[in-house]
Amino acid sequence: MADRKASDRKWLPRWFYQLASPRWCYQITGKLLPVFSIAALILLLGGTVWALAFAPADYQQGNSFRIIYLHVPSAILAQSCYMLMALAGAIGLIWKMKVADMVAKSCAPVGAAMAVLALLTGAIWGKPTWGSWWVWDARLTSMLILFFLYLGVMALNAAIESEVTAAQASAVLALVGLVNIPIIKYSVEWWNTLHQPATFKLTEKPAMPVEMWLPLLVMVIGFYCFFAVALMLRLRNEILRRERRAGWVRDLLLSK
Amino acid sequence: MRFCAVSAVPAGCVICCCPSEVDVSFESFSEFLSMGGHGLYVWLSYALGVVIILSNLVAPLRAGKRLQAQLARRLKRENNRT
Amino acid sequence: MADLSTNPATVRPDPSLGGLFVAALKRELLLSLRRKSELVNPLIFFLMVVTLFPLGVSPEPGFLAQLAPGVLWVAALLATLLSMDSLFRSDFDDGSLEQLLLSPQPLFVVVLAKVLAHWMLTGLVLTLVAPLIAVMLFLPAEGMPGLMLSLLLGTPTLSLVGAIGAALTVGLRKGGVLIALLVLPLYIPVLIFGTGAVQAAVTGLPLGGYLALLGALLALGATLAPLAIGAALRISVSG
Repeated sequence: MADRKASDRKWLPRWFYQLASPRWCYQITGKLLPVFSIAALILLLGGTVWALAFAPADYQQGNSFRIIYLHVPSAILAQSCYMLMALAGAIGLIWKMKVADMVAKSCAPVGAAMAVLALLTGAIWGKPTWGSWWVWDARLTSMLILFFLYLGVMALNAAIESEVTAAQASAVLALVGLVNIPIIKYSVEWWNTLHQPATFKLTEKPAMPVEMWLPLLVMVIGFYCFFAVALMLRLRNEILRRERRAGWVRDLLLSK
Repeated sequence: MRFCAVSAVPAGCVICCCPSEVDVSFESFSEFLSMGGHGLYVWLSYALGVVIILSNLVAPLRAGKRLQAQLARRLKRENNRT
Repeated sequence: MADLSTNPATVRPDPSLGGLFVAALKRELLLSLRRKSELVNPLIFFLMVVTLFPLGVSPEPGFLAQLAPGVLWVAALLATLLSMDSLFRSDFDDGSLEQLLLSPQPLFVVVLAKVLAHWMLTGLVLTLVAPLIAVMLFLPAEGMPGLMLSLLLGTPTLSLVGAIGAALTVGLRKGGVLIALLVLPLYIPVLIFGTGAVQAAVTGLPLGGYLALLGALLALGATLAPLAIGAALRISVSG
């Protein structure tokens, strides 16, 4: 079977098919976890200290501007995670790879948590800036809808009993959501300009000096490392659970 | 107050010859805590961030331990039976 | 010997795509019209939801007129959503859905016909009845063409996207609220442009842009949604 596949698709590298083995994935994530954990710890701690103590305050918004160092990374992560979830789902659908399904299932809760953090920090930021605990601005509303999309995928996955069917159905839903995300963004932005004469945006990205976006970059990379850690932890649990009948899992468990 | 950008010690300590120094944005620790009046919002946000990040790390770890214990128990039962 | 003809019933030409579409459409309409009492449920729901707003908020005409475009669209959206669950369920229960998936006919055409039949009996009817109910919310007369046109272009998209949710959950025993959870985020663009069209009509601004956007969403839905619906049906039936 492996030979036929290798000759059918010579343009896919060998590690792509190695990825399909849950056991190999378990081993490689075991090696990658310490690396990413340390990276995440250093970057997040360092980035937070830099953001809170050393980065300059904004001229207009004062010190509440420091919330950007949490809001923007979590928003970026929420969106990246959805794309990864849809991509993994597509790979699972097309190549029928179990590991891809497991990755998609592990992505969803982490992405949803990032969306929640982005929403909460965005809402809290709105209070000193615009005076209320929630604002229906385009980015927050789009993030809320992204959160709903995450909830839909998680709910569908939980509702279907057969794991294979659940993974396939969630993959289809994630892909439908992926196609809709640009449409939703555009329509919400348009809706927002109609109802709120444009003031200033929540983040003034083009006008940020180095002292402001450098800690932001550190936090973004730190968040990505954290995401890798959280994803790998969940993925390893999922692999063990689904492969519990396999010989290598039995040996692993009995050796503890 | 100025810190060394590389070693993070307060500037002026003779431990390292510092290539560059950075300024802390606050005059005093109490000002740091109050964040110019926005203290509630900033610290609340960061507290939420810490909570969400930590729970996403702790929850899979604990679930993993529970899962492995459960599967190991089931395996031992099956082995004893055969 | 030359004129020995075979039994004419076994000699049948392959149905063209158009013929297949019309046949599937006719079947769906015939089956649905046999249960006339169920046809009127979305309409009653629409009327009831619209009634909730004056009762729950305020019956004052100026206030309701401002609310009218959004409330009418939300009510039409919810009525369509509630009727989606039954789209594939009866076929799934008696096994004809499985037969459909096994047949050599292209699933795209049959699915499109099913959704069209569903729309003709829910969305189209809602579009025709909406102006009457809009009077209860004091929607100005200038808004009526905008309302009807936006619903005419928007409700087919709602049916198409809702059918994706219905196809994903048809294997589950209780699809109900789950369909809403899956499909409501995807409905939001249609809602935004639909209410935008009605409000533009009320204030006398040109409608063309909104209707073009709604038309574009419909075109996208009509081409892509049947693919997703077909994939979802295969997954649900095999699961």
